[in-house]
Amino acid sequence: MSTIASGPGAAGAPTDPSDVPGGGRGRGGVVWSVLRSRPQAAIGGTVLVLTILVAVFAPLLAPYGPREKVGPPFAPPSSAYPLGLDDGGVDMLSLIIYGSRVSLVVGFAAAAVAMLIGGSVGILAGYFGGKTDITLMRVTDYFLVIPDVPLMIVIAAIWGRSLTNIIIIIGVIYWTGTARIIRAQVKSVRERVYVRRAQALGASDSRIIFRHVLPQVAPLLVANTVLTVAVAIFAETALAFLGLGDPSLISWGRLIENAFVSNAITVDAWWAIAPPGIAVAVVILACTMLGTAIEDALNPRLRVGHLSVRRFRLRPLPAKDPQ
Amino acid sequence: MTKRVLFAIAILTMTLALAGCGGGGDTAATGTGADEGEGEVQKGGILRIGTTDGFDSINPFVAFSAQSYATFVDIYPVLVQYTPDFEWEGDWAESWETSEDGLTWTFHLKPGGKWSDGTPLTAEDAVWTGETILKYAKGPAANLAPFLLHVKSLEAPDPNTLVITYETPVGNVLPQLQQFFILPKHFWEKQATGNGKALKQYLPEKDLPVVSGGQYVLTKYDKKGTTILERNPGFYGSQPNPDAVGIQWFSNSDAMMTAFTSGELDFLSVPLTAVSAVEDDPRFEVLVADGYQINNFIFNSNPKKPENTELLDPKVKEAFAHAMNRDEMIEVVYGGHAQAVASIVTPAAGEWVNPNLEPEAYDIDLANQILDDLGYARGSDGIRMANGHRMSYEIITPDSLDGINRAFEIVKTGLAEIGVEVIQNPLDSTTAFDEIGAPEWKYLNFDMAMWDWVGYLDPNFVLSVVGCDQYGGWSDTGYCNPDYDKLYEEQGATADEEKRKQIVWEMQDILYRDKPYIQLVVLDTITAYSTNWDGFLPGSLDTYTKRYLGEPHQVG
Amino acid sequence: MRGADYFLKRTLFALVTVFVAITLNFIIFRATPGDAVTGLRCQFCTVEFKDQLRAELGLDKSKWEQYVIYLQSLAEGDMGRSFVTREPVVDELIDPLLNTLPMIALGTAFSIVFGILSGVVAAWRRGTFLDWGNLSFSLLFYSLPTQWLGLMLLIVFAGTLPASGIADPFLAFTDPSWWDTFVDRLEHMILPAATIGIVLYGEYALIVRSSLMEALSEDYVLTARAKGLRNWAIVWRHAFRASLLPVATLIALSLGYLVAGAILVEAVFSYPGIGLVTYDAVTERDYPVLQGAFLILTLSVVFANYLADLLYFKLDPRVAE
Repeated sequence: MSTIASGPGAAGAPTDPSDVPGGGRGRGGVVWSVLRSRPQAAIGGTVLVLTILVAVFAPLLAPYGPREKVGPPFAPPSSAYPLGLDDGGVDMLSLIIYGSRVSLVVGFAAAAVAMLIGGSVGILAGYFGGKTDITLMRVTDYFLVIPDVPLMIVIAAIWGRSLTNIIIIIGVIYWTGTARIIRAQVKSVRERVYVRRAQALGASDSRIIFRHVLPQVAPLLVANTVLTVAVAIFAETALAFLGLGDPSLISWGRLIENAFVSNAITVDAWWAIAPPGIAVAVVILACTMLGTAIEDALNPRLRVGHLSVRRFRLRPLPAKDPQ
Repeated sequence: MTKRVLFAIAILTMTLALAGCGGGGDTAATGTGADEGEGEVQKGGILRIGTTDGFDSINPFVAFSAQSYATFVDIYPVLVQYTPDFEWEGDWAESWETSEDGLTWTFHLKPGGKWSDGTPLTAEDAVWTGETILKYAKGPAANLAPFLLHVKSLEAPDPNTLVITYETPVGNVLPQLQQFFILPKHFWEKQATGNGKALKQYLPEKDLPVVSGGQYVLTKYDKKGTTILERNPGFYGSQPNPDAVGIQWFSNSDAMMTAFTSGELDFLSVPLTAVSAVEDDPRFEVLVADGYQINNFIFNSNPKKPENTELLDPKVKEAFAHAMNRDEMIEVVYGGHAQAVASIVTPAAGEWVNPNLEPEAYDIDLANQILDDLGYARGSDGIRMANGHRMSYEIITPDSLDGINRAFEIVKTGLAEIGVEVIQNPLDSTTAFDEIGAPEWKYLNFDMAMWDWVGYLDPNFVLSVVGCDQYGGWSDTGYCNPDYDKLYEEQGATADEEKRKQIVWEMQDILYRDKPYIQLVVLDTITAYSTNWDGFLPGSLDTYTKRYLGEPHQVG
Repeated sequence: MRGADYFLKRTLFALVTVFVAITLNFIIFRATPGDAVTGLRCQFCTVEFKDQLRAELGLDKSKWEQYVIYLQSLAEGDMGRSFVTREPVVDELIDPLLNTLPMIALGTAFSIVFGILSGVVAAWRRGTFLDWGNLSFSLLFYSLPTQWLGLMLLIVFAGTLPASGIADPFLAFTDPSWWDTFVDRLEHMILPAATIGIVLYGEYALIVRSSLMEALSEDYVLTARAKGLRNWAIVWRHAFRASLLPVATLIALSLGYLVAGAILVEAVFSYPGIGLVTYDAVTERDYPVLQGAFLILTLSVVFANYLADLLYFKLDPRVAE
């Protein structure tokens, strides 16, 4: 399926790094120029960085401890507790701040796992082509067919609910999107002149992959990983909601689940439910904006739309199976 | 263009049409002869009950759940039942006598009862049920055997008289017989062949309406949905007030409470943390009653356990007990609707509870003192060392227990203050019980757990769960004490109430000393009903009398 | 001939995938630590009793034998019996499936209709505030966790609309007309469907917008403009038509995942659909039901993908090479 492209780059768009022999300016250069030129990427990136900072400095920022009972259960928001208290009398604001840690860790770690698996599969399939490609793509297709949430809950229920398990489970289920995109990119990179030159000179496959191919696909890999972070964070909330998260850890997903089982709705304690969901949405939004902006900028197909003014461009979000 | 629009409309219509007739769980009620006249039941005449405790089965040989038992009380005749004051009155029995030696009990039964399929109800049904249970007591009927403990024989000299003969005088005949559900012989005898396996495998829900002889007939059963009981016109007693009772199961208590406050339900058991939502609402009345559920803390008390043997030491257990902050649990986890307890026998059992036992005081200093005296010094991370290893353990918790995560947090905090680290191992109930008994019901692996027991007004059952013969049965502690077991046998065969009481108290002393459990709190039973109805009994009576679902009535 | 080739290939692929799914299904559930019988808790569940139960359920045979038996039964349409209710799995799954489908259809219809509408408007008015606002909304809804959205809707509409279930179980006692039953069902279906609809709306709006923008930049559109056709006519007649297939393809793809994604919504609303059945089977360790449900979910994804493949062929026959 053809990549559904969006509008053109703005004036001053970065040159396609794949045209630069030897790897170009590399990942940092592309991403940075994207951030500079596209507002939504900047917004997304900033929010993400802020969230990471909150997670890192949680103990300094949170007014109370995450397990500290400071008042009666389900106390409503007040000046002392701006987001009220949960069913255990713990400050919601502190919970949100501390909860960012696990949510982000799971998000990034699972995305890293997915990137490793998907990236490897994609590179191998795209570079070697032929039987390797067909086999790997078949495997990818079979993986794609298994519904994600049911598989996650089955594995979590059977193998236990530790943090590591959850990270692995999520990573192992969501690598397929990355694989496909990277494969497509690698295929095009492979045809480049300098790769062929390197092959003619007798360079080994792994050397070519690591020195030439990988740097070319790195930006796309990064973009895709950022998008996978969004999916991973969502998957964590889904698992937690179904009671399969690690109950000793505080994550945003867990906060939502806790409210659900502790009768928050019955006692009208909306403050126990709304904030964690909003926090998740904000981070997912940020990741999505950033990831699609980078992908957008790397998209070599430029299109011109005559019927409308270009100001905001957005690449359609990949369903879990982008072609 | 137009074609597309039409197509879209067609799809939408089809969707909505499907909506009208899709699978669903609840279709029209199956009418039975239970209704007077037309077979229609007025909406006003249905008592709509909500619950989050579901049925596990409607086969009396299989069921464990409280919900199932509460329903059996209504659809089957039982000889006697409790009054609202917890005295005894006859249900099927009009009156009864005991012989001098206490071995023979004669029950005179109310005449004229009919099973819901029209067959007359006679004492033969009771005899058949009793004999079948006794015959298969070690096998398929093991669930029901405790209600005929020490029974030697049953006879029906005439259709309205039942004589039960015991092998030895028994102290709790009436509490036992209150749960002796009498089944229709003409219907169940075909299952009671050979080794009786069919008794357990039979699914009554395949033959609805269930042949019932109580005040209601079970006409519709849906484990994950709504179960309906309708009036039994052949009932030997006075007809219940509602035409029918519907018990709707909810997987989530918020959903249930929302349904209640929106007027979709009339009566339910209120989750303790949701009481505040209804107690001040003029549309509802709240009933608070003594509860039967005691949440506890479990130590693996199997002396053969190979690891962490410091946990077998009663002094260590005592130290842990002093680190349990029951007050905080009551406030945070149970909304204030619980009380601290010291014994496995629920306070509602009244005189049977040993009054000399007090819940261990929450005293961190004392706990630390005890552990210090035992020589368990703290390491650099504040965790004590015992027998060469850190005092760091896993505690198994079942998902099914409400508020378990919060309760665990409180336990964890308390134990941390005395230098013990604990990690939660949350499991679903089935796996949790399996882990406790591992390996293969030898109780060698686990260290500690948290669970509950729901006792009866008579202490016999709850005292039995720590018996040596309960390995692989009810035991969740691996406790085995032959002296205790001897006392258990004795109390079961003591007819004199005072004497029995002394034995029961002594047994509780032993358990308090040995501490296979730290008994934490007993939860109140809180029910609420809409003011469109009245006449409800406190929730503590739900398995104990037909009045519970017979007396409520609509008002105005 | 190329078309027929492609068709055959895709069909073969779908069938093989189904077979792989069935096998994976088996492996996942039988390769688990302990079996369903291990954890039975009851007064008389001695080791002997459990072994007996294992034999009854065929759990004592070798894994390979169990696999073969499993395949044979599947061929006969027998998915085994539930461990919990001992009813045939097929019976246990049909009703929930029939419950889920209309709910999803309703939600998807909502999201498609509004998604298409807003996508069209956005592409047409691209760059304007309308576009930007619409974009933000779509993105926002796409980012909301499904179960959280469901909870929020529950809070807002509790009291006005039923909070759970598929129907009022006591309605039957009032001798309701067909219309009453229909309205009751609809009332129970609205919130779950709306949740699904809102989350999907964002996705579809964005997809429609993008594919429309691409179509709008095609040369034939430029020609049409040069000919003097009004914007509206151009957008509607040319671009929309052209982008219908890719949109339909993407919808088909996402539909496959919907049935599975319904788990979260059904959990929030206690809606007795296939998602909730799957979840319950997991917690109850009811392996036959779980296997059956999983199979159904997988098959629906395979089917949806297959449909998408066929649709895509219609869009661009070159894909057959």
